[in-house]
Amino acid sequence: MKRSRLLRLVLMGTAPFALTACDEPQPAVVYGSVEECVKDGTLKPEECQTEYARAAEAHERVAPRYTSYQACVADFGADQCQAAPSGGGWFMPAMAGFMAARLLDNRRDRDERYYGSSGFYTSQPLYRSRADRGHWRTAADVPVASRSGKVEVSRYDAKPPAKAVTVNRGGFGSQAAARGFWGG
Amino acid sequence: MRRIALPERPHWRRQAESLGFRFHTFDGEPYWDETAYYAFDRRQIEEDIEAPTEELHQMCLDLVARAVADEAMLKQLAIPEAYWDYVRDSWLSGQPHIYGRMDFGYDGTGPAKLYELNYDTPTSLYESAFFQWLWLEEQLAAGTLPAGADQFNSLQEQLIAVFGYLRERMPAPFYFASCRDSLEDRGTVDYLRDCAAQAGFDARWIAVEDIGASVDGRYTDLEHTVLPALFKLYPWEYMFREEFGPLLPRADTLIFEPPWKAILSNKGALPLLWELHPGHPNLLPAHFEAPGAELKPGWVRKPLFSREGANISLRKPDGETETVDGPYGDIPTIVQAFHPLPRFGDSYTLIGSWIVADNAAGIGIREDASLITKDSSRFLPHIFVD
Repeated sequence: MKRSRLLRLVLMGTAPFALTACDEPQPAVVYGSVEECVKDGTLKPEECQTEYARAAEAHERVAPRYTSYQACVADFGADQCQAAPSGGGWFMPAMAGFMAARLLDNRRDRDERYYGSSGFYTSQPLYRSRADRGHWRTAADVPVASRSGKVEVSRYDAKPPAKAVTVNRGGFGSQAAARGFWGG
Repeated sequence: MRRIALPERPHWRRQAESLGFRFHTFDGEPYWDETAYYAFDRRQIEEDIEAPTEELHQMCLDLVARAVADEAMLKQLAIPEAYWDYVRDSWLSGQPHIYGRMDFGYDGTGPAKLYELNYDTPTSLYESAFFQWLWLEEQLAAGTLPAGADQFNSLQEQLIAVFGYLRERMPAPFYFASCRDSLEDRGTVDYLRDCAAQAGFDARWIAVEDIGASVDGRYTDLEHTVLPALFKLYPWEYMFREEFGPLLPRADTLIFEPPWKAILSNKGALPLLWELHPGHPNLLPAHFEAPGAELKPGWVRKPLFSREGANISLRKPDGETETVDGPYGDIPTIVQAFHPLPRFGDSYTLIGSWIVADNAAGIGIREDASLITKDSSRFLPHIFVD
């Protein structure tokens, strides 16, 4: 047989979204609060405090942003949305948890990877979307955990997304407008 | 290779609408056309199309390796000097590509002849990979096709496999950009997004026109998120010449198709392939053309950059000429030996043969009422039998 065995569409059609596991997982921990983190005991209490603070700081930078309260509520629910502290008329969801991950180059002993003494490398806020209450999701909308504690995530999901202030738009597209391009 | 009439499935338009195929009809004219299909035999598919596709693809990769090391070639291809390092680095660092399409003239006998490469912004993907497949399965189930009929089309499986490979090796989210007002381009990138999502990507759409640039020269989306990875259904030759082009080499965005595709999406690749492989059975003679040269009988003139048949002139051996107007009149040109498309009934038939990663992955067939296949052509499904 020289044709595909089974096809489906998950965005253009009607089938549900499915996420596949990815290789090179990074160890991380996920908690809904500092208290949950302390109780679990994987991190020291002062580490729980530090990683939570880092995630909360990142939250203001990386949280999904909406131009209207209604649009935010549509994705995250009524009790989950607030005006962005930085102003600008933006609305964003509340942080629903945090994930702290160590980015490791080599594969050492599994426990060493979780309990290493050098502290965690990066921390980021997590959110719960209205459509999927069962998972914590990153600001990039990637589901990372359904319960608190140790998880493994991809290297790329272990870091919060980079943000930069846009000063200019429309620098691509002029040739298409001039030449009427529509693919090939 | 035969063209066989077959009644349409009565529900196909409704089905197309519900499955995101919004450009099935174009300006009131059918684009998807299942009033007939093409039937091949296995030998035609495997020996005359699949094997040459893979061989030509390897010749193309070899051409890229030569061109990045040869400034005279980069100059012939009209790639601006400011981007030579950028294009070269993308090749030397092994930046992967996703897909491409070769257009062949083939009538069922003799070697398929390569007309051109669509290696940067190929469209007609959704209808080749998905809708054509759906047509086959439903017609097989309805018993209207020969029992055991198959289709040369593993495009979607191969695309998802490539995205699965990339998912483990590159940053996300993965942005997919097309021009805001093109329904057809949007269909192509939405389909690629769908395949990427099936492989686990957070795959987002952005209009080419909405891409932003930050103070430090990085590309951003409408929420100021830096684009970690971008598939752009937008030609490299345009990007190189636009306002945000100079940011490309340092923008820190992984772009697909990779910059080295600028060498292959270029009609200048055709004379270069002919120089490297003169007399190859799947190539047509081709040469760079001096500006203002007269088009001789038996040759076809093509601008280095051109899409959908625009600005192509052909002069038949008897001297009669046929020309498609277009916006590329200011671009250097090549000439290629005239090799008429085969005619089936009232239609001229072109075979698009797909490469995904480095594998031949299937074909899509387009018909046009003239010898130059344009964006007004129709797409027809195919089968093959043993």
